[in-house]
Amino acid sequence: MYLTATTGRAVVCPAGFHSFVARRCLAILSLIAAASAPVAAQTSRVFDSGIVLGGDWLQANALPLDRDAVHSGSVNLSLRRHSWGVEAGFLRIARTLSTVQGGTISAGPLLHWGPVLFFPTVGVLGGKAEASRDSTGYDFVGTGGVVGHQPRYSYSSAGTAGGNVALTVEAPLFRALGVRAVASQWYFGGAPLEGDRQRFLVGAGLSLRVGR
Amino acid sequence: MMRAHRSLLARSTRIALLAVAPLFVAASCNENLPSGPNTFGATIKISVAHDTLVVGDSTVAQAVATDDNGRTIQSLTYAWTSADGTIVGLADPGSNAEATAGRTRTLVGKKTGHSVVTLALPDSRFVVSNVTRNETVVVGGVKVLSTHDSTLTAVNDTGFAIAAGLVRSNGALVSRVSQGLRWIHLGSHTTVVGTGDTIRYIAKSNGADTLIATHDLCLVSAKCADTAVVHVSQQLTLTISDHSFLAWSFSDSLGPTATLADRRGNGLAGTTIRFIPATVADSAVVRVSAPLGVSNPSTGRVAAPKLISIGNGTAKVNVFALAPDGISILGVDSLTETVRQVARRVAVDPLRALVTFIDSIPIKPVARDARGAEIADATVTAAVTGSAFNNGIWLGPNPFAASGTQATITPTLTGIALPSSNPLAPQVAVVTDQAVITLGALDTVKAGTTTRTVATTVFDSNAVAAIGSWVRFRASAGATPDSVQVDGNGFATVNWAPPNLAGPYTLTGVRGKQTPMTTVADSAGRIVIRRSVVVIASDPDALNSTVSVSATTIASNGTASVTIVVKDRFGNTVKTATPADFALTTSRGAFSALACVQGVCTATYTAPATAGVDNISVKILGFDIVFSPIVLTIT
Repeated sequence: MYLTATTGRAVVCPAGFHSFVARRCLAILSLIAAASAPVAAQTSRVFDSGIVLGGDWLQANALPLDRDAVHSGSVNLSLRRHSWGVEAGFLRIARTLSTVQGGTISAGPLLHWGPVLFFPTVGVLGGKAEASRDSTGYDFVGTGGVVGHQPRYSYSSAGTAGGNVALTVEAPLFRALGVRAVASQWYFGGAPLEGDRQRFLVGAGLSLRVGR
Repeated sequence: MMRAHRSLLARSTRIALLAVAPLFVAASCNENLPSGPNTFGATIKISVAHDTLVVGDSTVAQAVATDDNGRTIQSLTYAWTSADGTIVGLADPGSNAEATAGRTRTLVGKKTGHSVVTLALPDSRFVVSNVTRNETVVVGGVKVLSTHDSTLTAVNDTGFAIAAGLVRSNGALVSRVSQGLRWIHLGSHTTVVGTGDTIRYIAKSNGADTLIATHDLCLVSAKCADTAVVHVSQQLTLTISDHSFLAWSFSDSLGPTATLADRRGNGLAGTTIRFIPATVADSAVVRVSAPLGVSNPSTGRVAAPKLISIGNGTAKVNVFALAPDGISILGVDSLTETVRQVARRVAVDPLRALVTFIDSIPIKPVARDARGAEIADATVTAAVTGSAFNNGIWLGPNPFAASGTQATITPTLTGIALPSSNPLAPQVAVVTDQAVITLGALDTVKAGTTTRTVATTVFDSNAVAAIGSWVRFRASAGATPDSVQVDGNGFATVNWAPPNLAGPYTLTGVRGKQTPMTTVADSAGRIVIRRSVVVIASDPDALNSTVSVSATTIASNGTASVTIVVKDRFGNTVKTATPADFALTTSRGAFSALACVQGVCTATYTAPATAGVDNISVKILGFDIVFSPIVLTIT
């Protein structure tokens, strides 16, 4: 179960959700954020202006990661101007059989709800996609009629570009340090991801305002 | 203030960069995304219920692949090939997914043979070797479609044997041609031509052959051989060239050519032809010779006997064709032969002879056919000059004829033996042979010198010298001369020595014949010599002549008869003796005149007037004859 919103009502998304469910959750969160915007705008907050450095661990909804690799995550630097913000960073999405990583740029309004900052964004990514695909394995029938599959992976990598919508929820933690939760839905291009172009990320991280 | 702010910003930026740096480092690390394996080890095999297929039948073969762990790999696509698709075909998979992918494949037996079915897995993921399976396509049996038992009735007749292999069609075994049958031919009475389903057999000799249709590739437990028996039994037909014959002479050899052949004109080695006169009467007309000629089985010509005419008349002769076993009769026919002797010569036998005029010989008027055979029923009359016939067949004796004369006998033929009486016979003029008989004088020979040389010309029935023929002799007494052969001049010459015993002797010479001559009829016409001589006593001989006296004591002046029997050295009385042939003397008495009659001479002795002794002596050529001298007592 994921608790993804702080508007006083909880939105519960089932674990193991797939992309369709993820998109619905994200849409709901975005509406809640938009509805609370007038309230947030009336309150001054630590992270609504200046330069904020953020980092997220984004593997929450894709565990376990069945390979020896760095988990999904992102770092970004955002420039915030009370009602809007832009950010640039690096995003890595690791899945058992794929990795997408590259630089991102996103932008969106800053919405406040009490001390909590909602930062819905849309963004783009340019980078590299790698994937191993079990497209040439075989099925078998073992002893006792047990049906199984013997995978055979084909590795490919290529440049990729993608776009996303995301919602970042930040709350001040200590002075310039904040905690935040992120949910985003990505869609990528590129040959390695053929047939598997969507990625939904849920994660959490820290924000550090490093400048005004 | 501004400076402080910038300082704070720079520090925060450095902190942020320090925090982000590990992420970039991490991003450059090995992703350890799984890859491969490039290939899998696997084993494939063909699973099929039977490796043997009947033509027309099919079986489903299954491709099975197992990986190195012994697990059966699913959903692969296989490739099947048959080394000879004309033997083992691969059925069209149609729309069946399993078959399309080659996971199963229906193998179809198309024709007999062996073919290797190969299963391949054309999948680069797997390192696997092709596997093969030897499939054998067989027939489900062999069946002779033509008759199983046939008979050819002529050599070179042809028949056909047809067989087919049994193949599967709609679940049932049906015959189908061109399945590569093989025939086994047992026997030598036919020859077989061709191969395959249909063969041709050609009759060559009588007997039975067996033809076995079989197949080298045949289903076990099926009927893999079928048999046809071919009998060759020639149906022979007896054909004789002619059914009627005419013979104009005895010893004519007539007969038809006989053919014993089947429809195609082929004979049978070992067959024979027999002629058998139908009745005893027929056997008196013809006799049957041994087979003449050479049989030729290739044409059916069979050596056949000949009918040899031996009597006038018509004979029916049955003709039998016998099988090589000499018993079985293959064909029967008959023929007739009419024998009618027609004269070519007419004569009176003997044509030449030497006969003492006081003798007679039986003559034989005879007509002969072209082969010299006498014509028994010919009517021949004879007329003689220089002699006379006596008692029918006897020529002579003719006391009126002088020695050295000849009698001539001329025959005349009339009646049935004339060619003109037999219009179908060759109208050849009859040769008339006159007989010339030499009438010899009666010889008188002295005992001791009786040997005579007798010679005469001997002719045969054709009136030519019968050179080489034998003349057999018989003497009325004494030694019989041995047989003599007629010499190159046509003479039969014999030295005949009648006995030294006085008397008449006759030598008879006949032309020999194979059968004994026991009757006059047998020897009629065959006596070529009948020579008579009279042997007379030789000169008086003291040793055999005798003297006798009627009394040896005689009174004085008394008389006695003296008898002298004059004989020659052989004891013959010298009938011609005269007193001159001996000397009769006495010492004192006297003799009357001698009188000789038939070799006995007598005289009367008159004793002297005085008593005493007297002697009578008879001498021939100075020698006392027997009992001479005789001593007389005169009283």
